Amino acid sequence: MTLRMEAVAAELPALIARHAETRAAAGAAIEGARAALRGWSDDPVAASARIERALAGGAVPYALAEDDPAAAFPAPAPGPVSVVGVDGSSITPDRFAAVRCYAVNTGHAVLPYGVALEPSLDAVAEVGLDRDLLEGAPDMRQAPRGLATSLLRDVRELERGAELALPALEAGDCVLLLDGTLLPWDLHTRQASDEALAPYRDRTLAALERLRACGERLSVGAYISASAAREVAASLGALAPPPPDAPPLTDGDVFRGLLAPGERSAIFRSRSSRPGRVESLLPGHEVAFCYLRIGDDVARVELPAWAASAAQVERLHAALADQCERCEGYPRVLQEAHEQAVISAADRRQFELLLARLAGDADIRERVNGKQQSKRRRTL
Amino acid sequence: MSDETCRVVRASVRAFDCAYARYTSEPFALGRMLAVREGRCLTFGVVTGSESGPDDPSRPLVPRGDAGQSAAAVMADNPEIALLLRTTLSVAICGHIDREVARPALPPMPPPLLAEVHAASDEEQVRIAAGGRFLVPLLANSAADDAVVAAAIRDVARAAGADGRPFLVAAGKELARLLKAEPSRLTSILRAVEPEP
Repeated sequence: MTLRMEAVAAELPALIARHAETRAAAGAAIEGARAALRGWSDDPVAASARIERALAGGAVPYALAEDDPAAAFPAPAPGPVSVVGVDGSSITPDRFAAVRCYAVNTGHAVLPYGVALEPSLDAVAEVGLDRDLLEGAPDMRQAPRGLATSLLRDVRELERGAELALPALEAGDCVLLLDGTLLPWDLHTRQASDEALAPYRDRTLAALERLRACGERLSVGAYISASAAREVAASLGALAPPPPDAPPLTDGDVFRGLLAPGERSAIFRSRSSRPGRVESLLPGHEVAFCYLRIGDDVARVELPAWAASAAQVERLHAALADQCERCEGYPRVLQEAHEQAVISAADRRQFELLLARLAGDADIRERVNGKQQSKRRRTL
Repeated sequence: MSDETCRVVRASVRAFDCAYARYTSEPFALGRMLAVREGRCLTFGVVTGSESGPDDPSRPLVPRGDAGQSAAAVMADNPEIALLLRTTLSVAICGHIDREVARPALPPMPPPLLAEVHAASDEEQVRIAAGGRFLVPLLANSAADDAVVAAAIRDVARAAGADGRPFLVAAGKELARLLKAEPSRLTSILRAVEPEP
């Protein structure tokens, strides 16, 4: 027996009742936030100035709209386009292993719609020693396990996106989609020095520059399903403070009732004075975002501010709505990229065994570790 | 691997499976004699089955497309699908050529895994099937049902060209000898071999 169901089942009804109370309290706050959004829309200049006065210089991230903040745009019909999706998966170096080795698997899908391009589903795998992740900065050893691997994975996703977008553009317009945030958030971790993070920052910058150089025929979007971001909600809170007992709202709570399926919100720009914001490390590559309603989901779509022209946003919106329709509410191209990237539990075990066997052939033995041994044996 | 290339993915001395890199709507037909020209000897077999579907059984193919849309149009509209499907054939071995000698019998060893599989040439078909003797290993394979045997005989008769009729007579005699205890099966196969009126 692992989880005692009879014990947890008895507690669940009370938890659900508490959740219902929270939702009821959130309802009033959501209505208040939507009224504030309408007020912002009625006088955008004055409202934006109020938001700036209230939040500029503080630590709370907020957002300002690039156009009417309450606007809702229906999905345009998709034109001929190649849609490129990239997603990554990784194996963190095992500190108990004889050889500490990481693996990063970057999957992609290139799906042409009405353009002469060969579709492609594939992945690129790479392995290295954990010291390769450090690039001469040993303080990364103190960072949580997986931080460097995760950073490398995020950087490789951007790099792979640039590698695939360039040839796709030769066939026509292209939309590049990434899963998760546009920029690797771990770039501003305080758990590693600037020196340790510099190679990742430089590679991220280089990939973003390559993408920017593609021009207007490339749209770029990072898709965050069921985002919990609160930047627009924070701005609305500055216009109309929520009831004191209200739970914190997400931007998704605000836009869920305002957007019809397939519609997107206005484009917003993140604002924050928080020190070490990842955008501050990547000058010229500020993040813009909008929300997209797909079924019951309100997804956040991040894009580089330099890729937020009307044509680029329209192409991105059309492609995302079409992709989600093809895949029951999630972009088809990202699902297929994920399928290519995913490292299953069986793959991880096989990698571990292969590494141990090859290390053993080289007379390098795993250090005997009681906890690991015990977990593997599980004897009575 | 070219999408049109078919390779051995499972093999024994009695049968092998071969797969295309991707889905094909026109695989080698049922009863077609195939050749594996790698290994210690050339191995020949007859297609007993053909199956197409998702490569990953945990991701079933769901029906897509609008009413009236052809399969090709649905595939073109969903470009990832063709990359995730595969066509596999099962083949009953019916003969081999060892040092230029054609033998309508099981080979001494299975064809090599990942060896390319091709359609047997007309000349190879006629040599392996001569006198209908390729029916002995074929009928011994439970996967070779009446439709497979009849299709194989028809295909060799086509390959034999002007000698097709004598081949059909010889094959009929060989069938009668092999199936003397199963007259209903014999009748069923012979009826299926007859050309359409």
